[in-house]
Amino acid sequence: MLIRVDTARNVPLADQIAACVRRGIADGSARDGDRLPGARALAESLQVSIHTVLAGYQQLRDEGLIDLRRGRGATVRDGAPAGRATAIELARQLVTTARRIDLTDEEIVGLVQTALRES
Amino acid sequence: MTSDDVSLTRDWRGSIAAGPHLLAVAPSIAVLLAAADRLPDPIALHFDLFGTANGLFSSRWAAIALLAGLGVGLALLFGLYARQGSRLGSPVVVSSWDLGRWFIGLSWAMAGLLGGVLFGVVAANLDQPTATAAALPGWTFPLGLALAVVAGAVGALVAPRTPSTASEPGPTTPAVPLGATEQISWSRSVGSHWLLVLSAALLATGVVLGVTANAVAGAIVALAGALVLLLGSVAVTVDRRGLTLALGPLGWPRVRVPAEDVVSATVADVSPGQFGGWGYRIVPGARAVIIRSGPALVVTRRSGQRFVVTVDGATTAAGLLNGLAGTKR
Repeated sequence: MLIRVDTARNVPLADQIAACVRRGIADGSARDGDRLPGARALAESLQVSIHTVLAGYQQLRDEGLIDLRRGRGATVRDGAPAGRATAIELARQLVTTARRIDLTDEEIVGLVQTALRES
Repeated sequence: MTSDDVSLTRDWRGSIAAGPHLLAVAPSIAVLLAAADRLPDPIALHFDLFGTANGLFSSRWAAIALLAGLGVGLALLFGLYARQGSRLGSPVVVSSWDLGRWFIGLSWAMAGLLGGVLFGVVAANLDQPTATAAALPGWTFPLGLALAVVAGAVGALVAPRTPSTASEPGPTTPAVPLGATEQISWSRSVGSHWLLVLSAALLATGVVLGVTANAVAGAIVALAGALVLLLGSVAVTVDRRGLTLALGPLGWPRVRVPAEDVVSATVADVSPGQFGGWGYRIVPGARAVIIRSGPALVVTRRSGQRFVVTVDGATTAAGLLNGLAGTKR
């Protein structure tokens, strides 16, 4: 799995890391039960703080995509479907795109609700 | 080369490596079959350093079966191994030596030595009243060595050559463009279930052997098991620092190729036969970590040396390394 972060981008590094893992799960390069790189090793590899990596991993755990266990590290949650990772990633892209054109949070939610009603 | 040519060479390689082992046991079997009335029963098949029969007395038919089994077994072993080494559509040149050709030479030399010694062993029994009276003729080992040298040279001459003009392993994988402020980390683990099973078996055998029989022998077997465990899996990482390999379950020891040392990277199919086996291999012109056969990352270093590691998804890794090599220049 490839993780790329760019300090010049206007997105927190932890979010960038989480997005890469999500894409990895979505495109099948990280599968059920696969172990993610250890937080310390990944932090050294990306030359970022270990807290940044852990923040990214916690985000993924809250989304139900990975398990974080002491001693075992981070693993892709069993039955974490690639589709779920894709949906989460798309939702994030929707928010980013909508914010760029200065839509308010209510308007974004409204967009989603309209889409839900019409599908 | 078309694929037909390649498969032809493959079949040839196997037969050329296997053939001499069948030939090597033939004279001894012929003597056993033809000169039944001049042989004692049982006959002696094992001699000490001074040429005196000291064990493994066997009936004539058992000896014939033993020799035939030995010939067929060695032929299969060498033949299949030689085939394996050339099982690839376009063999990547990882070594400045033509290892496939050397292997056939070695196979022929082994067959020569074995053929000479076995003939001496059977001849020692001729016209002896009993097996214990048999003495190994003085010419046995000189004959074996002479046959080994001659057969080895002939084998290396008749062996098909691997084209060594193709010094590039393949087209360099297109570089993945990297931003100046961008950090990357690509990682992938590769492991072999067979090597893990082997390692567990060796460790268990070592412990049992150490407790029941001999502590030293047990420790040696267990140590071998630990070494196999270390080389049974590898975690491959590509980042700004270069290529890092963390061996075994503990991720230690590590092997690193710094980014500054990378000239180019590509992906190629390799087999353990090209490197003389599994694990950490050093062959002329290349170093390699071989866990399985199949796709591998092939890195060319500044010194011209290659570094090879068998890993899935190596195309991304090779592209990233080429991207790094590009930004460093």
